Amino acid sequence: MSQKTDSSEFAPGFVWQICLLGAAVLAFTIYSSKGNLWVASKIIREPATALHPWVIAGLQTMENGLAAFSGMPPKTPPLVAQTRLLAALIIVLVISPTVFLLGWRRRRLNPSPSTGELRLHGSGVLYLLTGVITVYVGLSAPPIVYFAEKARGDLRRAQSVQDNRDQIITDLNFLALDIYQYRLLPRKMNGGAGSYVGYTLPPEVSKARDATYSAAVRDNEVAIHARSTIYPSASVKVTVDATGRLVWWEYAGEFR
Amino acid sequence: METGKERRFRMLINWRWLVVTYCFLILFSLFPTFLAFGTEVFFQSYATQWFTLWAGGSMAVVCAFVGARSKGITLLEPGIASMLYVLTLIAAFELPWENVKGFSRVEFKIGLFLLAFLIGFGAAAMGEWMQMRREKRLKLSEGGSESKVGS
Repeated sequence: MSQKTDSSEFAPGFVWQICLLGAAVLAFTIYSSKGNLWVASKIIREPATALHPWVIAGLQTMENGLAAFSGMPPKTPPLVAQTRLLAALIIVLVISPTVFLLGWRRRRLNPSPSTGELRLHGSGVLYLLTGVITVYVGLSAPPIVYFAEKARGDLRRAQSVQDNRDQIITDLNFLALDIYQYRLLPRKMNGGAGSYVGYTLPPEVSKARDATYSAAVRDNEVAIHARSTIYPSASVKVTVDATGRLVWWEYAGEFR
Repeated sequence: METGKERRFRMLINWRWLVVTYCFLILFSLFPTFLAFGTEVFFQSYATQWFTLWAGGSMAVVCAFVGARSKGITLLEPGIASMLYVLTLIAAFELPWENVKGFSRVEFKIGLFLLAFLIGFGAAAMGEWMQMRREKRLKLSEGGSESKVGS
C-alpha cells in the first residue's frame, strides 16, 4: 500500500466544504428533532423530523378532526411551524431533486476520466446527499399514497356499511309496529285477532332499497330476516315476540 | 516549525481523514437515519432494534468506504470518528437506546463508545483489505499487459 499522504486525496477546499455541509446538516437534524417542543401538549405526536411535511400535515388534519369532535374550533399552527413546513417542502421537494438531477445530467454529459487520480470533491458529496434525499422521498411517497388511499377507502366502506345497517334497523322497527298492529286488530279490520298467523309483509317493504325482507310467521312470534342488497353477505335476523318487541337480534357478515 | 512529537502525531492520525470521516458519518449515517426514523410513530415497538441495526450498519459502511478510499492505512481515524459520532448522538439526541435494561447509564455509554470504535476500526480494516485486493489486481493486470507489450 502507498504511504499515508493527504495532498492528492482531496480537491482544494474539500475539507472546509465538507465541514460546512456536515455542520449545516447536524444543526438541521438537531433543530428538526428539538424544534417540535411546541407540540408537546398535543394529543398526537409529531414525527421527529421536519422532512416529512406530508405526515405532519396528516397529523394536523387528525388533530383538527379531534378538536371538531370535541366541539372546539380547529387550531391554526403557529407561524414558526408553518415556516418550518414550508422550508422542509422546499428543501425536500424542490432544492434536493433539482441539485441531484442537474448533477446527474452534468455527470452524464461530462463523465469523469477513468484513468488518473480520483479526488474527493464537495460537489460529489452534495450530489450524493441530495441523491439520498431524492431517492428517499421517491421511495417513501408511493407506499404513503397507497396506505393513505387504502385507509380512506376502508373508512368510506365502514361508514357505508354502518349507514346500511342503521337503515335496516330503522325499517325493522317500523315493520315490528306493523306486525304487532296486525296482531291487535280484529279479523273484520284485516287483523290477526290476537295471532300473527296470516300476516304478510307489506308490498312497500319488499321493494325497499337497502335490503330484502322475509318473514316466518308463527302464532305468537314472527322471525324476520333482512339481507342487505348493497352487501349481500351481510344480514340481520330478529324476532317480533308476542308483545311486539324486537328480540334475539343476530347480525351476520359485515354487519357483525 | 513542526516538532518531532507533532510529526509522529501526524503520522499516526491523519486529522483530515478524521474530520472527513466524522462529517461523512453525520451526512450518510445520522441524516439518513433521521430521514428513515422521522416517522417512528409507525414502528414504535421495534424502534430500538431497528435504530441500532441501521445506525451501526450505516456507520460500518461509511468507515469501510473511508478505509478503502484513503491512501495508506487509515484505521484509527474511522474508529475515533465513530466514537465522536456516538458522543454527538448521546449529547444531542434522545435516543431509543436510553432505556436499555440491565446496564447503568455510565456502563452503557462506555460500552457504546467501545462498540463504536470497534465497528469503525473493523469496518475500516475491511475497507483496507478491499483496497489491498484492488491494488494487487491492478498490479497483476498492469504486469500482464507490460509483459505482453515486452514480448
